[in-house]
Amino acid sequence: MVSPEYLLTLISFSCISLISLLGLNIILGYTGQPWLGHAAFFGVGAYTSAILTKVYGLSFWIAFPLSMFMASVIGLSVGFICLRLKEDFLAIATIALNFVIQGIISLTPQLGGALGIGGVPPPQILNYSITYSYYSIFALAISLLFLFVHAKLSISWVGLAWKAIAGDDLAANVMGIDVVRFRLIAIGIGCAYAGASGSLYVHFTRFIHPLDLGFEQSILMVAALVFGGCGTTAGPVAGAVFTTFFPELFRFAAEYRLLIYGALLVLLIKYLPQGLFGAGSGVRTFFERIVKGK
Amino acid sequence: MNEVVLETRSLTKSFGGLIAINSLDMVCESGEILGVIGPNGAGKTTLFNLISGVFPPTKGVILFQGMRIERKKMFERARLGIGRTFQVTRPFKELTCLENIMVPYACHIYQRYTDLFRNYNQKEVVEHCLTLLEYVGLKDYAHIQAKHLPLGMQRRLEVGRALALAPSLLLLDEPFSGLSFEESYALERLLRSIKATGRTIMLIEHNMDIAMNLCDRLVVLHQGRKIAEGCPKEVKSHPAVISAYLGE
Repeated sequence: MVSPEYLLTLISFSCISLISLLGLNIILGYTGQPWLGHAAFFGVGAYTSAILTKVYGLSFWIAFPLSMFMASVIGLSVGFICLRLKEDFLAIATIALNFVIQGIISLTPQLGGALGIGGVPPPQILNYSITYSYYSIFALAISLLFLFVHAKLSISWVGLAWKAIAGDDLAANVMGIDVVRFRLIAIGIGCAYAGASGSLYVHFTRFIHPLDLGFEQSILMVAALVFGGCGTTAGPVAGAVFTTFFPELFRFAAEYRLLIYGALLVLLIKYLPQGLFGAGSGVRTFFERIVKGK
Repeated sequence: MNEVVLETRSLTKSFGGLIAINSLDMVCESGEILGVIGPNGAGKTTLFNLISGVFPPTKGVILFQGMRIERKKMFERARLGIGRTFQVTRPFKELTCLENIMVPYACHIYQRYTDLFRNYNQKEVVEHCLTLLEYVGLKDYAHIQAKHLPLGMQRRLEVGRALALAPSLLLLDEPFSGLSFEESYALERLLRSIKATGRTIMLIEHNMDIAMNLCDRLVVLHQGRKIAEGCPKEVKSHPAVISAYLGE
């Protein structure tokens, strides 16, 4: 029998993961940029929020947007340098950045060093702390807000331009799109999402450790997004639910988790290359039929 | 002489030791269809790439409506009114035909930061783009992904997409290549109707019959140099052109 608290905890983690994946979807899914260090920006958000609230005593409501801002600024700095170079360089640079940020944090005592930072206070609303049981509702509300913004972006002019760039950046350029500017906008927004996710994470677990932003986490994020379906709104939702609940269902095989992920990804690429909810997938068509009542 | 839309002065492009365009001087007048012809490797597509900004020239000047554009970026030239198609079609494959047209049209009308987050499915935008799709004969395919279209339709979609920029100059890179007789005929009629609206067209074409019939003037390139220029009849009998084509 699964306890309600356990289920609520999993829902919180799903919502937090969803926000990260939505951000990654904007950069990798919509704009088609090889972004392989997303966990670093999740970590920047988490550490920013932890330090601002624990060390400087700021409210979560101030730390939360600042975490998004900080992750966004670092993402934009990387993008600004790398986008002027070859596309492959962005993939390599984001991987390198992931290791660099993790290394800097591990070696900086002011950032908790290799031991991480504990005792991060929970968010408060009207002097009432939002703790484990209620945090799932809080995280769900915030993730729905981010999902709404993401869905709006996908039907906005910027979303259309991103999809055009992902399709063919030269043709997009010749059609009048300032490709570098639109890619930077995607990176800025996507990293802000990662920062928000990191902030929510650290105020939920009350602890952050350098391993939480390791390269392995970045790869798991990409795998989750590919599994769910890149470039769709439903894809990150499916990916977040999958990566949170799947390890719990198969806890008995925890040591083989990455092996199972790998095998699943291979099967997915063979039979559902667009992901579970990607364009043309049978699963997506099935759900669309249900929604349309056919 | 009509108003000059495009002019190149001593335009040169070299790739290492290879000179793809060698000191080219040419003009394109308003409202004409100017054909650019020449054997393979003559530098025709390179010329289009220089005009549209895919790469910068090594030397020389490009004037578009009297303005120097050779240092402007690709998207800036598109916004000034230079639309183009590609030799190998490059539609946005995952987008529908309607969305393919919407991309340049939205670029044309949404230029402020606040416009970035506007819904692109505005009624007036959709209506305008459907009109353009109808013009190029693809209205019935508006909601089909571009990747599912046959080549002839992809070429017409590219023309429609370029027209969505409301260009003063349209660069068409071998638009008839790979088309059936019926598709060629439909495209030829479309180009004549575009010309009738007063737009200027530069056309790269290998099929001499089409080039002779459709173009008002021809510029012949050979190994990056202009070897002849004039009306189709003059060019056809020009000794340098005959020599370049027959290898004499």
